[in-house]
Amino acid sequence: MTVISTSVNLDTCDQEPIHLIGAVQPHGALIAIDYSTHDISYVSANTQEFVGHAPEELLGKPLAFLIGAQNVAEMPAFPPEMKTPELLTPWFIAFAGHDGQAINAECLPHRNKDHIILEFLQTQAAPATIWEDELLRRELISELIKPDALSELADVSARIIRDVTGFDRVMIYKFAEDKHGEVIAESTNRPDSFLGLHYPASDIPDPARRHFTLNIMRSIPDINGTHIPILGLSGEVADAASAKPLDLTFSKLRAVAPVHVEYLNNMGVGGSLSISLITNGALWGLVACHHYSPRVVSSSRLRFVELLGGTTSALLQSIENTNQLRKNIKAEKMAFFAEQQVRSGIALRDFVATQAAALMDLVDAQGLYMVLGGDIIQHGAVLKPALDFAPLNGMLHEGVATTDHLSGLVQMTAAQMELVAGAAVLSLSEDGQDFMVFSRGNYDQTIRWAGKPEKIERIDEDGVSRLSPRGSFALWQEERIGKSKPFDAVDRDTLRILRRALFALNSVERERIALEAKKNAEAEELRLRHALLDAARSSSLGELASAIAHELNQPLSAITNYVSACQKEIRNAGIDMPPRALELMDTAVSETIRAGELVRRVRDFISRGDLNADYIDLNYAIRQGVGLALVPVEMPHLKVTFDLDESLPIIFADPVQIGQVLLNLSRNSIAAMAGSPRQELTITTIQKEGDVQVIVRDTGPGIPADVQGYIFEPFHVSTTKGMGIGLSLCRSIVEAHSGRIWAEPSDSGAILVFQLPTQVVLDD
Amino acid sequence: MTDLAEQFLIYVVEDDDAVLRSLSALLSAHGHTTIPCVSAEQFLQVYDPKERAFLILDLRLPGMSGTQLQNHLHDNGITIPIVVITAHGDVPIAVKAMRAGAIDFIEKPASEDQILAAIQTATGMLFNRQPSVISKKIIASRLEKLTDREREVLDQLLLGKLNKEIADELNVSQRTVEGHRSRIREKMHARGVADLIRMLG
Repeated sequence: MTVISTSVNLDTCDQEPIHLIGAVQPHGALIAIDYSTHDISYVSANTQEFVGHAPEELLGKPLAFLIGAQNVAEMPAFPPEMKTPELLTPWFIAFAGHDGQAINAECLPHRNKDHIILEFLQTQAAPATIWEDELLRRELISELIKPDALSELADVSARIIRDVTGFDRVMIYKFAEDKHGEVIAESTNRPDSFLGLHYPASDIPDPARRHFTLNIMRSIPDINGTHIPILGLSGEVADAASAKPLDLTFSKLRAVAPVHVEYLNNMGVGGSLSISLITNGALWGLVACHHYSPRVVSSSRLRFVELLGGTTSALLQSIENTNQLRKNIKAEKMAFFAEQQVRSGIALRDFVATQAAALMDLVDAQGLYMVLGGDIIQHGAVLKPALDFAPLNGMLHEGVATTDHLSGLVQMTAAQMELVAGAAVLSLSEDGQDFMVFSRGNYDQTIRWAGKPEKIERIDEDGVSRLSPRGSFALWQEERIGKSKPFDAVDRDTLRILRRALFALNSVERERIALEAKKNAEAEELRLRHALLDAARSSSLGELASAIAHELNQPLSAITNYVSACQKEIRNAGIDMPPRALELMDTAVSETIRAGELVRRVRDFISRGDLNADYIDLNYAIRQGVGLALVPVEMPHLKVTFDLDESLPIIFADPVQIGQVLLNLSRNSIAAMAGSPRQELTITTIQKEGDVQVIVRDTGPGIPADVQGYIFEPFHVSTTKGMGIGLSLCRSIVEAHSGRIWAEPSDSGAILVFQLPTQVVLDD
Repeated sequence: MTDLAEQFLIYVVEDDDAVLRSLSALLSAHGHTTIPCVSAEQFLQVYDPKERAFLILDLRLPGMSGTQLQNHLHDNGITIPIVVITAHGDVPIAVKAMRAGAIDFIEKPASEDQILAAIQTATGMLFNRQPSVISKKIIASRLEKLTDREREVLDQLLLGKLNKEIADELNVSQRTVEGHRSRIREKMHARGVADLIRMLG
């Protein structure tokens, strides 16, 4: 059984080769003919009983030898692909046996690669076709079509199938995603019930599942019926061990695998019938009919049952599709609603916060946890402390990852595990920063297994290990802790629909926020520029006032001094001045003093802006000041170089005022370079013995030696434009910062340097 | 007012030509010998430490500033009495200069009396006549007469603050500050900030 012949396909290597069992059940005979020659290549050993010829009489003979040329000509045509026999259009044939006796048989022909396999069953004496038609109409149409709930449909199906087949027990299994089966409907004449019991996935091994999908119906009238070997031309049994095994994948008569015999015997079953329920191309469930003794069901009833199975499958599919569609529509509606709300200006987080209950309801969750732009939104079952969902990121498929056993993936406390068992993670941003988690609580804490759900590994005599079916089907309860109701395909569809919408909305929102931040930054930049310009204007005005005051004070001072000196000299010379004249001179002095006082008031009124010092990045203030000077400049060849020491300590200074110094120095330099062949402005910062030096260098004509000493005095104009208070203002600002400003001698261009202490003691 | 025993020179360092010449004219009308200098550098060239002299120094100068010159002299052990002249608005610098040892300061434009008073102080210093030291007791008794507000204004004045700044600081009008100032001068028997600094600085 476990020895696999060389002719076996590679794709069957990992499967138990139950389709190469080389034997049929005893309730029919099998004859396989070559597809092109119609010569008989294989026969089951029981042909005498069913077709009236012994196997050795048939092997190698043309099929016409057995059933006559007329029947051969009437043999149904076969589609090119392999397929299970068409039960609904039976082929009743009559021919003469070996001794001339009349043989009436029902033949189930099907094609299998190079062969046509003909399976012969005895026909029933009186096929009750009318009764079946009637039943079909009455039951199927009126009852099956009606229910739209799954369990209701399953109940009805189980009852009808038991009515038609007469089995002791008809059960309908539904397979979960982990392939374990649950009995969702049962009709039985027995006192015990299997309804609600779970069967482990290992009860139906994968090879068997494959057969269930390919072969809708499997009839085993007698579990312990003799295996009738199939013989090939050479006379050897055509099983997996032989050189030419016969593939019985689509055979109705295929003998029962020993492991299955053992399984059914363990359950006390004598005869069985199973009908696969297939929806959307996948095995959805199974109708399992059990009889506690052998049970033969007529072909016509089998046909009916197959039809019923197909109908049930179709209805199931329709119900499932409807359910899925309904859920999808609900999800799409929610997605649309979200889109609408967010479009109308509601923030995504607010939408989720207000719709949390509806969202959780949609995916059957008890908790919602969302991280969006650093904010956390929680609803329902709240986990404290928050979990790290990172392990689920590797499982994301189309942005969604689900698990029914969260504690198996992430570290959880006992309290958390009590609250949350399963989770669905929805990724809401490419960078993984934003995500949503739906959580489900513990589900169905107790599973009622039909027996302990494990197979026993057994070592065969030939040393090969194989699985043996469960021996006990006694009820066995399993406490399942830390698992939630699994997220199934429909859930995942819903989650994906939601996620698609939320992800899209989040990206739009993120873009909007990024854009807004950019706008704000630009507005802030603009505001700073304006502040700097305003400050420049007002401090220039202040400086102007101060300069005017200073300059006016000089002549006023001189006048006072001269008049006083004059009076003194007159007295020294002993000249008698008329008192009136002396009085007038005194008035002149006091008027000058008053003029000085007036100037003082004006100057006080428009005083320089106060220092608004803070710990600042000097380089930043420099870049800003220079940048501002460059704004109105149209000098395509102007090259500006910042050679800034990035390791400068932060200094205590007024960034706007310092910016203004740079603004003035740069403006001067740029204006000076207007007619220069080389136009290079270089701003350097260096650290020097506890001071920071800022050096502004240009490639203009430089500062003439005769004005070097005066450039920081107001109204000593060395540029042609303006009043010449720019450098005076620079000096005032730098000095207010306890610094110094000077011009360095230079052969080419101007070099202006100012120095600020890093440990500042500000004038206040 | 000058006798031979009290011969001395007055160096005037002032970059504004009119101020320099008018001041020199005034001082010579009062019988003083002045040596006008247009810059700190020039002063350092012409200064003769052997002569008995004092210095009237403008703080704002092109090249080496008045403050720098003061520091330079101090660093080189030259102890020439210095009277500082400043433009209005340079009071904070003048206050610093006072702290650094200047004996008086004159705000431009100054009346003849203010100039003569400053020169008297300087002369007294020059001839080791200690400026009339007012006892701490008297100062304390004068201070006691000040109101709390006046004390506040006084503190600000000692920091070299302008009226406008003081007004902003104390949240009052400039006129009020001026009122406080004149009452402070009265109660403290001071002619100006320089006297206040000498008393309290």
